[in-house]
Amino acid sequence: MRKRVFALLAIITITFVLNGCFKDVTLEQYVFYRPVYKTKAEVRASIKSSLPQQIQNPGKLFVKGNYVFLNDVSKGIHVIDYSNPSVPKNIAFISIPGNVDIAVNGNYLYADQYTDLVTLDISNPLNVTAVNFDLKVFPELYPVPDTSLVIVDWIKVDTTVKNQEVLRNVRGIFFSGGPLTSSASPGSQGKAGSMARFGLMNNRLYTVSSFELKVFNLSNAADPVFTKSVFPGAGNIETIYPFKSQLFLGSMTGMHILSVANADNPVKTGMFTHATACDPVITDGNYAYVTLRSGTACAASILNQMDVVNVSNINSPSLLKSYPFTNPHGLDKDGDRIFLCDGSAGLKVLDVQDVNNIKTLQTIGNINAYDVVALNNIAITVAKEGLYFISYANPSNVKILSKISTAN
Amino acid sequence: MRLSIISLLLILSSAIQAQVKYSGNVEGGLVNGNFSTSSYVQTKHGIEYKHWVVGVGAGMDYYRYRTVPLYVELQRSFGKNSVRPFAVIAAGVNATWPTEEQKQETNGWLQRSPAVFSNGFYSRLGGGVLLTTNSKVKISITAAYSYKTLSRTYSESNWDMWPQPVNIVEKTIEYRMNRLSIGLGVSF
Repeated sequence: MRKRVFALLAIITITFVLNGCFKDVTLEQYVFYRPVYKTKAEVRASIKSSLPQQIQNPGKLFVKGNYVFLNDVSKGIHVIDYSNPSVPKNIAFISIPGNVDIAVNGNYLYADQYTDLVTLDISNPLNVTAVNFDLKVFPELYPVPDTSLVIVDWIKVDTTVKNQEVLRNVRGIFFSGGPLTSSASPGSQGKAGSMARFGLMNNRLYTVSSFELKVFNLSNAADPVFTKSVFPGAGNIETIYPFKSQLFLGSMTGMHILSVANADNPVKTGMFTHATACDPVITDGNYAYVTLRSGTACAASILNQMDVVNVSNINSPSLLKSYPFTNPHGLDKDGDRIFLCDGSAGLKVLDVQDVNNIKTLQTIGNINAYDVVALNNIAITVAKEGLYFISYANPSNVKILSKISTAN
Repeated sequence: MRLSIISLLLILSSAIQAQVKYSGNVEGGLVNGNFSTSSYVQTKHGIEYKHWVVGVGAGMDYYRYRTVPLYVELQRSFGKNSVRPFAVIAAGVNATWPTEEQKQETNGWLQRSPAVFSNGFYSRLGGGVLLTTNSKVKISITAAYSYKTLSRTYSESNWDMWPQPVNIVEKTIEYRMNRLSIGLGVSF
């Protein structure tokens, strides 16, 4: 009996003592991107209209008049003439390395370029020129020590990495800090998508980053002047939507409402808190429509829904109802219709006449919709596959008029 | 002469047949590596000749990703005491059978993309003791080094990884899992 007990104990002891010597190995084949640099002088000299380029990675958009200014993530801005939405023309490309967000004010376009704010004269879209550089006004968005070099491109590199122990989720070279980025709400100036981080109102440019709202005075539109920073509170602010005398900020933890009765001094008046998720927001004054989505950059949220929030009392916004969706991103509202980009589930057309009973009227499928601007019966929709021009002149028959495809 | 050879072969054959018998085993236990401690169960069946057992086995292995090892095993025991040490070696295919959760990969700005698994290799090298309880049933206690591989491929999008280019890339990860196992079984 003692022999058996001894044998058993010996086996168990050896097994667990030796266990520390054994580790899993993973061979990981993936792609990373190697930066290509140019000097700042070279980059600035290249910020102007050039020949049109094929869209690579469509980002945020701003619609002004007959033109769509479409950001190509980190590369620059495509200028698209859609005076005939059935036959839109890609007429020019403005190279702005590090650009993610844009806003248009009259004849001037404001664009971030890594930590800088660039002002462009777009009075002639075919002859755009940079007229002003506000240096390092967004240091929080690019926390790498500045040098005389600027990343202008990325080269795709295939590689295999051998890892010991647990899997590391290597995704290549990247910089921390949230996506910078494009401008919301418009008025007579034009209209931005709801994913924007730049907003125009009261002759001011408002920009948001994770924790900060910045105010730029545009009294001289060609020369924005940084005025003030405001810290609304809970972090990870992602979007801004100016409406009347309020700014609606979408953050990963909730929706902030700030009064800009004093344009240079935004004051927080209310907040609607929700579970952690990515969330653009729009409003019609009575209700705010907040989309919550999942994704690795969205704190691994599992929520995919649109919240309707009663904002008639801006000091105390309250949830009215939630509607489930697949992976909702940007959205826009025109009349009683909401156009909602539902990721790979396409563009949804919603009837919001009765906010307690919102109905999906139509789905434009087979597109990976990201953001949309609905204006003059055309829903200009950014998707992974390209830029779509979708007519809703006949509300019962929303249809794709045309598409400018991406390179991929 | 021919008759003699045939007779000799028949005698040898019957002598071997008298010593060859069926052997079966059911075993369960824990498998431990740097990823986690998980469980496994397996059953093997074969023939026993003197101190040797050769057979085929199949099991369920829950370490990291659920798999079904299918293997050929050779076992050699020593002595005839009631506590009988043995050594065992096995090798075969590690068939993948991921759970629904393991098939999904959360990525990027869109949604989860399914992961595709490919089968790998399975092997086991160890030893233990057989504890005789009566003439037909024995209890086995086994400690072994166990190795299984598999690969997993999925798509990943980088929309949120500014300022990297937005892109969808395919990533393949080959897992080589080194573990130690301890199991308790019944041989019959």
